[in-house]
Amino acid sequence: MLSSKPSRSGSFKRSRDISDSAVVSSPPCKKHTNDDTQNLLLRDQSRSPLKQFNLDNLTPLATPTKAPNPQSFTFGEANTPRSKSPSLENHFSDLKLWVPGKVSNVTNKFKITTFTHPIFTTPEIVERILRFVDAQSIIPREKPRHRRKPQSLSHALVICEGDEEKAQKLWTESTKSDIRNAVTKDAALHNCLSVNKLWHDIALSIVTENLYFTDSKKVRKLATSPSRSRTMFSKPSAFVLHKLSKLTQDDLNAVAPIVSSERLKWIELYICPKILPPVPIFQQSRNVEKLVLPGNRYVDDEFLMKIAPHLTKLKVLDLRACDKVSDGGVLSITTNCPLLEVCNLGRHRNGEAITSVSLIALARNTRVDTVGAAGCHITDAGIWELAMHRGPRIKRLSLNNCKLLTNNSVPTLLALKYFPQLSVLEIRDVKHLTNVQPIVAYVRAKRARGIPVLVEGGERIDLLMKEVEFRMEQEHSARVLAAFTEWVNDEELQ
Amino acid sequence: MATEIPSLPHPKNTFTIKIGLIGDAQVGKTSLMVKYVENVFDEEYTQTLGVNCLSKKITLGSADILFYIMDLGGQREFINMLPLASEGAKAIIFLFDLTRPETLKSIKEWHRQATGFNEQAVPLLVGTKYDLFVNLDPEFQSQISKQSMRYAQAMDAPLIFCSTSHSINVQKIFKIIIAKLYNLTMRASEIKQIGDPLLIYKYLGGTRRSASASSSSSSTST
Repeated sequence: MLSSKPSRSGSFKRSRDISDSAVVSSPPCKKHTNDDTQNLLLRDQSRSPLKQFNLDNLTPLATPTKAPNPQSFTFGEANTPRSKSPSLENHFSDLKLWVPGKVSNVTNKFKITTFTHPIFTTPEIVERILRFVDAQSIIPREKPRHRRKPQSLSHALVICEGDEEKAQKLWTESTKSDIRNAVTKDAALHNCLSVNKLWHDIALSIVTENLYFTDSKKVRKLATSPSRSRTMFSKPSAFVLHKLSKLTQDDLNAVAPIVSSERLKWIELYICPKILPPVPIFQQSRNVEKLVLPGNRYVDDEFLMKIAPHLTKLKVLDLRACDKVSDGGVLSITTNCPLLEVCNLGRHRNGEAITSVSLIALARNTRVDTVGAAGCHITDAGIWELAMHRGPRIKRLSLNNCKLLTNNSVPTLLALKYFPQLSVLEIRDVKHLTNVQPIVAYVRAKRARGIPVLVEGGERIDLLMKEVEFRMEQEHSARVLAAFTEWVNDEELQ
Repeated sequence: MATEIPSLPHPKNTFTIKIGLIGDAQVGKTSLMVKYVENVFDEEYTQTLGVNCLSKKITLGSADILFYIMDLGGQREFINMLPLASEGAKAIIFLFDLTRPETLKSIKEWHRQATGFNEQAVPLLVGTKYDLFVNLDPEFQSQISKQSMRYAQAMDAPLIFCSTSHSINVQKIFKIIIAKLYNLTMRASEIKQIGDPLLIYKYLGGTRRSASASSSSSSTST
């Protein structure tokens, strides 16, 4: 394989031109039928102009595609054929790297090593370096937020404990539109693709480990990448599409073979409303742990039933705002995904499609610790079932806008100490919820032990909680003062 | 499954109260502290080098009190460590030896210096070695008692005569501190008869209440 590698270098100049694309396909030379004949062809071509070099001492892998000082590599007679036949230039651009033919091969090699530190020629070390470069790049994803936005200025005031200046700031910030989604990816690794052959090969395999796109054109480019360059791709462990509304289902289907493998763990189509992840991906990728499809209009029960049998390792399922999903789809997931830990079914529309049936199925069949059921028609019974089966493990609950919930849901369960590990509770606009005392007591107990708990109650519930907390604070002070007074007046007590 | 659920203990606050002990050498500051914290009295004199400190926790139903007592060496050379004992203290106990009138006189200077570092602390004026004092000439007793009452009045500090060796009024000192800090009603009757171990506190040391009450809210919870 090594002998064939230098021949690929011919394509480097071209690959550099498109180096900013997400995946650099290295286009092979013009005429080829299959890989074998192509290699032969290239071998012939590479030998023809400079016959005194045999293939093995052609450009070493670590030679820069662009010489740092081209002047020192000016050709004598080697220049002439290039100028005469410009078509060859593309293929033999690496010839530039060679000092004129008079100098012997030995000195050639010496010269090259003088401007390349050996660590940049050792594949293992280069791979390490490039992995560090890759570690800087960020997969586009939703920014985790600390708190939800306030609902109104008066709510901001409640959150900021009456500090008007802070509240005003918070409120104006929240009314501004979010531009934060423009997560631009640092293309550092893509530049590494055009350094030299060694770097290209290593960088390409690292780049393709995690495929993420914020531009549909690049997905198309990947879909049309020639099969030859595909052999150099790694099997990706993550496949993320971020807000690609223009991408068509056909484009996505074309990418499926590149994406699917046993290594694939994370599939995300973040707000890509009109495309569905191709079912074959799931059939071939049995280790998917994270499936994130928020805001998808096409995901429905039928689709979930189709893919669920292949998702036996699934841990995270995000189906926010997938309005078409109903209890049936969730049931098929819960029966097939026993390892599920995070399940988000929150929605604004079609809330009646998700009922306590889903919740009970999740509670009984999975290892769920985070449940998002915002806007769903779940009932107290569902929450109780969840508490009975998963209570000690539940960490986060999002129950915003669940209009069927009453005081007998979370407040009663918290009073009975059923959710000892709850750390985030979202109960905005749960209109029948009026008894916040157990929630406040829970938060205070946790806080006293240094464990923060976040309760998002929205304006009404936040205000209620503040009042209750104030009252509890007063009662507590009164109790403490009574104890002190008793001690002060007791002759016996030391 | 219900057995898996760990029950949450009720949150309990600990009120940390720092107290500074200040006064001339050999008046019995360290003795008082050790007596209160460990309930031990040692006749032997050990000079305090710099600052000693001991803490005592009082566990009550809904909260704990942690007395953090700083005892400053009485020699003049330790005056530069006065901030250590007085800054941040909720109460400062000024001690004098009932058998040595000059130690009472020094209180004036100690008080001036200490309030320079901490105006908020509740001051207490404590006369020590009452067990020896009670055997002295009644005229002397009366003189010292009246003198100390005038000092207490001027400092707006509760006045307590105590005996560490005989355990007289030792506990009271700390109970008065809490009563003054949190504006509590203390029912123990005052002792105003000259010759008795004086205990005068009801109308003294209350003017700083508002300031000390606000500082008490900074209690740490554990």
